[in-house]
Amino acid sequence: MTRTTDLVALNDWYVVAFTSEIPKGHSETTVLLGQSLVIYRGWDGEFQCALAHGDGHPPPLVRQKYGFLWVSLGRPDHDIVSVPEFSEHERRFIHRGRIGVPSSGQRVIENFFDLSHFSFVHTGTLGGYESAEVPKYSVEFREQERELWAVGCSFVQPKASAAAGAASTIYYDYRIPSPFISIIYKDSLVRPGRKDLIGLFIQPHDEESCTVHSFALVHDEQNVSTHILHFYHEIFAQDRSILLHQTPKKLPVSPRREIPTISDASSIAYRRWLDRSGLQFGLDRASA
Amino acid sequence: MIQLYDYILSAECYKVRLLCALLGVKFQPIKVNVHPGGDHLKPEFALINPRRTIPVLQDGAHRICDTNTILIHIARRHDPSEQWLPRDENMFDDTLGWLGFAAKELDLLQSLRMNSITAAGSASRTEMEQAHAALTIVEDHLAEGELERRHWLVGKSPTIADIAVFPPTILAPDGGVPLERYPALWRWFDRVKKLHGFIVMPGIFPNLSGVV
Ligand SMILES: N[C@@H](CCC(=O)N[C@@H](CS)C(=O)NCC(=O)O)C(=O)O
Ligand SMILES: [Fe+2]
Repeated sequence: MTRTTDLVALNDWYVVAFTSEIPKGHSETTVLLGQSLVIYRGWDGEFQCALAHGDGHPPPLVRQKYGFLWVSLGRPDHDIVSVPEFSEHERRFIHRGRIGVPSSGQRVIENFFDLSHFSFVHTGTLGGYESAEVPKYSVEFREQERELWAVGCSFVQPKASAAAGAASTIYYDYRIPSPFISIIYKDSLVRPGRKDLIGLFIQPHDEESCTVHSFALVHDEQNVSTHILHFYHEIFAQDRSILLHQTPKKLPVSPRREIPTISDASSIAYRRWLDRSGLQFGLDRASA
Repeated sequence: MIQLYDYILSAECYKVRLLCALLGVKFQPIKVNVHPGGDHLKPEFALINPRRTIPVLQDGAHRICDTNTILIHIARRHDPSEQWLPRDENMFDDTLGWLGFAAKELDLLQSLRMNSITAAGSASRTEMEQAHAALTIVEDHLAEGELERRHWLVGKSPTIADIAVFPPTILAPDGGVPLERYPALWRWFDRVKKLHGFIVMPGIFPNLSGVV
């Protein structure tokens, strides 16, 4: 595997582990953007990260934030994404585990905010055959065009969360603060007016495989964590088996390769936004 | 009521859930945090099952820690027709033969799948060859059977052999093992999905003809 030379990809922050997955005094090897890394956790709980084959590249930057371990191989001009809800303490934090996906991280992000698959892929939980229609929503750019948002999304969900007792129309906002991160803000069924958060922090190993590190911050005092986890893992494995069959594994960004429908508005916006960012890694830039 | 120590993404547990669904047997699931928690590997779980595996079935005071044994137990107790575990001597032997095959030769498919899902690694070339060798055995057996109007692994009706072999084979692509070269397997998957009472697990999609 070779380290990418794409500076847009290199100059970003990525999650490479959930901190408690690596016990004190242990090390783990992993791959980020084609670069092999050795992560070591000292007895003081602090992490170090070194390049397995340095070849003169600078050492990676390492930070702990939100319970995850973040690494940058380059010189990021921005901080790790700000998610104030992590420090609000009104929701329950659930580490949803790491899931390996043999596809580009961008395919995973695009699937994450595509509402049109809910009825057919997450039948009985996030959607049903009776109402497969995706109502209109709007796409916005925020934080000086840094972040892409799809706001006012809604869907009829038979079982919107582990805490749901009946079907209801659920409102969502999707936030994509960087090409490999997406966070859902979704109506809580337990605390009306409040939002649950579900987020994906993607670690691209190479252009066609990644690990999804993910979390939920939910209002749910009733269910034990394992019950909530099984709810999410059912959804995970359904998405994963769809992602396995999408080709090409890299995400096409040429406008000539799009088949636009209304529910695709956010996916087209995501592809355009990626295109404009100058990112090469994980994208298929061929025009036909 | 019987209890099942269960993990939603375990294809071993799904074998038990599927047989229960087909036979109309109710059970109470006890959900285990297998990933990312690894709770089944902890000392507390060894008190439930020293082998530290799931599924585990608790039927009254009786506890069974092995998938095949659970399938046999459920069939003997809840299938008066004796279709799922045939009494006929040859068919009985053949059924148990496939259970052994599922536990031994198809175990690789199960571990490739869990490793791939939990980002713990992917198949080596040797493993890939072994996986295809095992799938070819099932494919050839089913293709031969079709010529003799035998549409199931053992004889002309489904048995627990089909229940033990179906999950690891249909889920092979989840572990990076493609199924394009196995047309008889696909036809058999379809027959399994049409069984009355059939249920899916994540990664397996229902047969939608007549639904949408
Ligand atoms: N695609 C990722 C994550 C799957 C995922 O997060 N899926 C979304 C739905 S597309 C989800 O869990 N949503 C929960 C919700 O909407 O409540 C994977 O394969 O691991
Ligand atoms: Fe999905």
